[in-house]
Amino acid sequence: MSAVITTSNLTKTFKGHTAVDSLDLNVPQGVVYGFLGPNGSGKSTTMKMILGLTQPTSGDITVFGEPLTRASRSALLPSIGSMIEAPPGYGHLTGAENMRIVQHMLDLSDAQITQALSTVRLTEHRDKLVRNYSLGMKQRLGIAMALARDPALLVLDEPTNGLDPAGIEEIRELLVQLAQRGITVMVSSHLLDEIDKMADVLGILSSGKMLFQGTRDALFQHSVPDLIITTPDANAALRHGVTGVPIPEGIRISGVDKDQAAGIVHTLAIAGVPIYEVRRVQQRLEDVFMDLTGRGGLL
Amino acid sequence: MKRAVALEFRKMRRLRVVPIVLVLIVAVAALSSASLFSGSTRETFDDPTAAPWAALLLTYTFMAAMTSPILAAVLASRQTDIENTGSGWTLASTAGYTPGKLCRAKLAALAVILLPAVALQTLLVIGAGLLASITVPLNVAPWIGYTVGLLLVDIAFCALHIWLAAKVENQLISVGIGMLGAFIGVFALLMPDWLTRLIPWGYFAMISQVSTSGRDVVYATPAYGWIAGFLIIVGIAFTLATRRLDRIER
Repeated sequence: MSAVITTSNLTKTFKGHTAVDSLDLNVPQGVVYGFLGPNGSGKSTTMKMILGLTQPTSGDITVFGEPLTRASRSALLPSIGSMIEAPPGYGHLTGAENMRIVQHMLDLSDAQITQALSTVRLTEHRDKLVRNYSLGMKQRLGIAMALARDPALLVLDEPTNGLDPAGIEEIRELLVQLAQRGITVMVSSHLLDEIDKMADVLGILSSGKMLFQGTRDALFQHSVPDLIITTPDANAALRHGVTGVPIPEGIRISGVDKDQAAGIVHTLAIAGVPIYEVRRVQQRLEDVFMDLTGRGGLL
Repeated sequence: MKRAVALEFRKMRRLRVVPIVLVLIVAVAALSSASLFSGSTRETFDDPTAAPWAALLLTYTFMAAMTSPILAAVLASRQTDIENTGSGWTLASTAGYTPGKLCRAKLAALAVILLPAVALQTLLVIGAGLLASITVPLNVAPWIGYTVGLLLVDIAFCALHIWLAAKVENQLISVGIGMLGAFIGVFALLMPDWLTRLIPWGYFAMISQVSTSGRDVVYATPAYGWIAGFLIIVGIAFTLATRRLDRIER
């Protein structure tokens, strides 16, 4: 899969504070790329750099294979829809009037505007003043503004912020549908649960550094779940050199790979320790994330 | 740029820009012509030596100096604050319209509104003079000169307030400075020339085409060199400041 966005050693420093630190990002084409990280981890700054709104202190960015520079930015922007931080929208104008401003900014057709409003299901509210919109409607209008240009890449910064569960689900379904239509969606969130259900590829950021980048499956492989050995005689197992923690059903052993697990089972079987069951703990993405961030991230 | 200016007119919808401008120009015309209806003033209407048109222009200059800084601050603030509250700076940047370009487009759009507004304001004051039956012939040149000067100084202050409203999100600052400027503008007419030249709001007095000589009001030639210098400095400063806005990372 070719990459739509790549960054190399991307760094941004603000007055001695490094917000983004040597980031190597790779966003493949046609996927939902979940950009995860606690608040203040550098997600928005990274997205702003990708959109050319903020200049990197060092490092390179390529978008659609083109190096992002001041000169190339204007040629790339028409293909990139975005919503950064707060959803845009002039409160004193209606949704339709806001969309017409975007239409004239980018020289879009009426059909593109109509389609964008329809995609986010805002058609029936288009004549309402934006200041009277709910937060969810404002978010959807922001996404419509980003979609109107028929982008090949959509960069959305926390698009579900402040939404109720139904609103979150709605945005999630929309982004998955867009990716199915071939649009590459880069979406950030500090909420793991939101990203878990829609992202094909994950990038996990903490304190400006990339902790992990890859598929959900690869992320699980990154972290070895604990091994549970169900036995009525945990003490006997521990006496035979197994390093674990006694639990009501037996013992729990951390950090053992497949071969080590086989070795432990073999040792206990030779020693005659009764083993009823050997299994791995069912891991949640959250556990894996916590392992990665050292439980430092609030997710 | 043409497209950016057209966009500003689209954004003006429901900002009540035209009603605000109309209310202020009618207020200025009314205040300027209030003195026309006093008995002692009416006695001068057919006396060329009393220069009733010059006296009316002086009153107009006072009233415009008092209200124009507020008008510029309010218009610029309303037109710029919508970008702060609606995340318009970012929206425009992602469409290739930098904040500086947006500010320059706002200034151009407000100048287009101010041109007929200031002309209408002057015509209303002259109309009031004619209605009050001033029979002394009107010397048009000073009125045209003052109207052009007022328009240019108004535009210069719109530039200042657009920049201020873009830099400082709290619009009370911009409008507060406009109100302070209104006081300074009026008192500048009473200040010595050297001091008036040094204060930006003093240029509402510097464009005056009339002055007092004892108890008489006489036509006077403004210091065009200073006015041109002020406008050029404001133009350069606005260009540089708006270019700098393009480099500010929000």
